[in-house]
Amino acid sequence: MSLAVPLPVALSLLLAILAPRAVRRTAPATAARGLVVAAVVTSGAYAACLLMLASTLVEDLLPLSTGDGGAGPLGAVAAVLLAWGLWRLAGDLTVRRSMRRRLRGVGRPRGGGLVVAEWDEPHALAVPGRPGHVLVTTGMLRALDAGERRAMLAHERAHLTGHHDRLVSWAAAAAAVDPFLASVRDEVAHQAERWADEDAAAAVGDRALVARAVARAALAGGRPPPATAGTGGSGVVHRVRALTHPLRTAGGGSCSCWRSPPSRRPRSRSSPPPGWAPRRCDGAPTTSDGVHPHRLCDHRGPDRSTMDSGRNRGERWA
Amino acid sequence: MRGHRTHGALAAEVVAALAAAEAPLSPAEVQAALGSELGDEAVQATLVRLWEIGVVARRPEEGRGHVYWPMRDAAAEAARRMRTALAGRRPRRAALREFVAGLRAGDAGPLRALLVRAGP
Repeated sequence: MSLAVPLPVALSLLLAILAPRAVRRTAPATAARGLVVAAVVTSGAYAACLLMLASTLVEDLLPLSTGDGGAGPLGAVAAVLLAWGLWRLAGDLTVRRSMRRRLRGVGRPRGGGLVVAEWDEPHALAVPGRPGHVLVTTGMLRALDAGERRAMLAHERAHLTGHHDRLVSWAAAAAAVDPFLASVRDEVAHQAERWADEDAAAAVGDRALVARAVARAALAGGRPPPATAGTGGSGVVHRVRALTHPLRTAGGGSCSCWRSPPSRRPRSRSSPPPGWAPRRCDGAPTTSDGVHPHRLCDHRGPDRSTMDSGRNRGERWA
Repeated sequence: MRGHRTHGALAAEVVAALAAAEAPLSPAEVQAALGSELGDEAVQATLVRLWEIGVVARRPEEGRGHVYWPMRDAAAEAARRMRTALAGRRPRRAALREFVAGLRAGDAGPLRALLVRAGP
């Protein structure tokens, strides 16, 4: 029973700390799904442990209780935390449902699943539903050129076809029950944006165009950051960097290669197909032909070529 | 530009182009805005279909065939409802999934640099 107190909290904190690192090298679709599963399982465990602790409180109050020490104040704290979590969950579900209803009520899409609002403030969002539609203001449309508009529309459609709202809602529900998962919820939201960016890039066949659209739209906003931004603010820069530097993660010195789609991943190192620009993991310039003899960013862990070499093995096993 | 447009995607782009324009556009102007690989007929047919279902309005204009513009009434009404929907407390804003959700201090610099590099 004593383990029931720190375990759920430790699990949640561990997930919150590890999540951003774990998904750094993962495709956004996989990252978002994996994080949501982890968050839901963790919040479930958290709630179950709190429930267990709280139930000892009830046992103590019963006259038939065997009185094996009991959890006393701990049980009370657990009961309060559980009630708070459920209250937050109810609030989150209510707010989301009402927001979705309001956004659906803004207008019925008739031309290509698009509702346009004559408003100078730049907004673009996907309104989930069956089949769901895109809601965009003229302020957003005028901030972008035709190609960027196409990228933006493809991004929003990707949210709809991928049902990203469900993932984000599950993550938000998990974080409502278990407040330690707030950063995981934000990470899921960010990965959903990255996912839609990648889908949009595939749809329009131009990563740089999507990057421009995201940057232009963000600058067009130009308003003070809302307190709710979460990963939103610097998330925009991350997204743009991920689109313009497909082989390196934004920020960190580490590298990731999933972003060059499988079909474009080089089969042989001597002839990378066009569009694939190899870089070294440490960011140092590549050799003149663009291919470094080893330590290319292909994520095979610590330099397999040297590990496999006989000399190295000999040293190791000597 | 690569990538194949679906029927709905083209209609959405046409509506978006008309809504972004300051003045009514002819089919040729819409086509020019959307990219050269599109056929005349595809854009023309989309415009006529949008006009038939009442999403856009049109009038004949000398030398340009018809010119098209979006129905403003619906857009103004949509804006009014959207303002109400978005005006709200913090938790309600958090429930939104927006294309971009605002900037943080220090974000504008890198983004401007990218746009300068990418050209106008």
